[in-house]
Amino acid sequence: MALAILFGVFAVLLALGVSVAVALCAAALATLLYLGLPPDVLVIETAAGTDSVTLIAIPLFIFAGQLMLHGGISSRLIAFASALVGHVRGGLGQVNVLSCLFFGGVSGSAIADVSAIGGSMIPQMVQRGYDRDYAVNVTISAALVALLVPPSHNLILYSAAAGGGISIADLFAAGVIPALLLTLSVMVTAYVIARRRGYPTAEFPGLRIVATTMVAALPGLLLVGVIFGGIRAGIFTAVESAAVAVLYALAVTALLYRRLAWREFRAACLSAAQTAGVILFVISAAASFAWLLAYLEVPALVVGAIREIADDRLVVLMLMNVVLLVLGTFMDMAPLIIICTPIFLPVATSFGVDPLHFGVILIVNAGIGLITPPVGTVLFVGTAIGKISIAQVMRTIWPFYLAGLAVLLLVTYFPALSVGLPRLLR
Amino acid sequence: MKSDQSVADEPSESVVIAPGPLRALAVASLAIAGGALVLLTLVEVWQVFTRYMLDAPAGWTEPVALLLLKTALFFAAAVGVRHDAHFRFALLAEATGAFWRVVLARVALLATAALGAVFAGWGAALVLATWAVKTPGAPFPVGLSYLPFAVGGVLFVSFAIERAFALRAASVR
Repeated sequence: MALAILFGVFAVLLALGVSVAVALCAAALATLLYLGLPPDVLVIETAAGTDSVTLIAIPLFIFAGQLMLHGGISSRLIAFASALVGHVRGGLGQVNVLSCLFFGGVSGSAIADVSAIGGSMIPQMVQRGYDRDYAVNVTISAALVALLVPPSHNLILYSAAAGGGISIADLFAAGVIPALLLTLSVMVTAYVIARRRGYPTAEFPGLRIVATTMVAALPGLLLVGVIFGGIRAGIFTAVESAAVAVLYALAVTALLYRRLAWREFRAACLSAAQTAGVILFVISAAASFAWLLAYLEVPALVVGAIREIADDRLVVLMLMNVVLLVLGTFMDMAPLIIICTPIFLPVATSFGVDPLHFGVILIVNAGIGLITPPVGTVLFVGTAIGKISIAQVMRTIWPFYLAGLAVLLLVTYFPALSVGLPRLLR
Repeated sequence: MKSDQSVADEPSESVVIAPGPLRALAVASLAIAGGALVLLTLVEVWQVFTRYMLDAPAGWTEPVALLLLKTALFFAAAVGVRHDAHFRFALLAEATGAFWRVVLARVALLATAALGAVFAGWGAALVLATWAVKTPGAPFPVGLSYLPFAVGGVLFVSFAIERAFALRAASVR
């Protein structure tokens, strides 16, 4: 009965349009009252939800990304990508994908990717004769790469949701190969469609331009190196690397690029605070819910139930993929990670799946959910920038879905793609 | 079709604080959250500096950083209530007419205000109950770490009520 109250109240409130964080807390409070437990457990556990030092990295990485966004990095990254791949058939599509990979390494956020790169690239593509649906589809699919490359705050979120025991340095490394695979799959898909639609090519600008644009973009690209190298070399903790990333972003944008005046700094600061506040509130609210999941032994119940359906690791992984994909269409990234990790991670580990491997599977599933209706924030931002309806995008997005699903299957059934690099770097 | 080589400047977006009777409070709350974020950065950088440069890591940085995290979280999350920025699914509302959309949005805001009241009440009780207890390694009482809950709860209630009164059919997503 307690479980029915926990999930029932949560589901009803969500259906009524109550925010996920409030629904989580209300469901926890109702269950606590039913069980006769002290209701101040809600406040204590919600407070405890923010007592993890790891979480400090999330607002700081978001802050660093916002500083880069407001400080003139994206135009330099796009210029470099343009020099590298602009001459390929449908070149602006390829530039878009590569820029998303580069910017993902600066922002760690798919929404920031689609806003920054899409905001520049989609209007340019449309102006140069590319169809709007193509421009939006390429951008939103490529933006998902940011979820997997360091400094992805979603990977930190997963580590926190898993109880903080999973190394963030290992998670950052685990995402690299799947991110490159996703980039490649979107580039190939974009190229095939560009050929079929007869999009233009451009002349190769020459190695001198490639070198010049690379030098201009290098300070931004080096941010990944500072973060990844700093943590890997044991110089910083993940949280300290996030603070150093903020300082680095300030130095690059204010001193080197000279694009970050007080107005841009203030905008970056407030924007980061607002975004981080929304994400951290869900994390904090989910703590009391997760406490009740553990109290009611839900993970053990789910493991038992799944073992009755299937006993093969590959079948279980497929089942989890289906469930996560369906949930991903309805739920946003952060709530999905926070709610599903305590339930599905014990199932995965009980079948011998490495937590790093499961983390990457979870992020790819949730990422595909970000570009699928009815709830797909990256899809919404992309269509808003592209000034096109969701229905129009949906008619031609299926090749990009297939590319994403192919990467998901590869990542699911070839664990070495995720766990290989972290093991190599240890 | 034109050439494929050229680059535009990136968009420069900023947070827009919506007008309304509590706009000044929202501006102040977001400024506090943003300030906490800047201080959080400085505290973490100081931690690295003291460890490598002074060879004497500061012990107070962790509890202070966590206090700043909670401050940023609750003040920014409260402004998120005012701006309808929190994750939610409006599927049922989208399937209904304008009248029911407003009704459902007000129900959601009522639930938010009720939770805010819980945070404010129990948060304040925890502040008082733990004010005399010193935080290990930090120069402030444990009760201070519950203060963002209590103040954030009051802000949640205020902004939820303000938004509930300001709702018009056309403004509900």
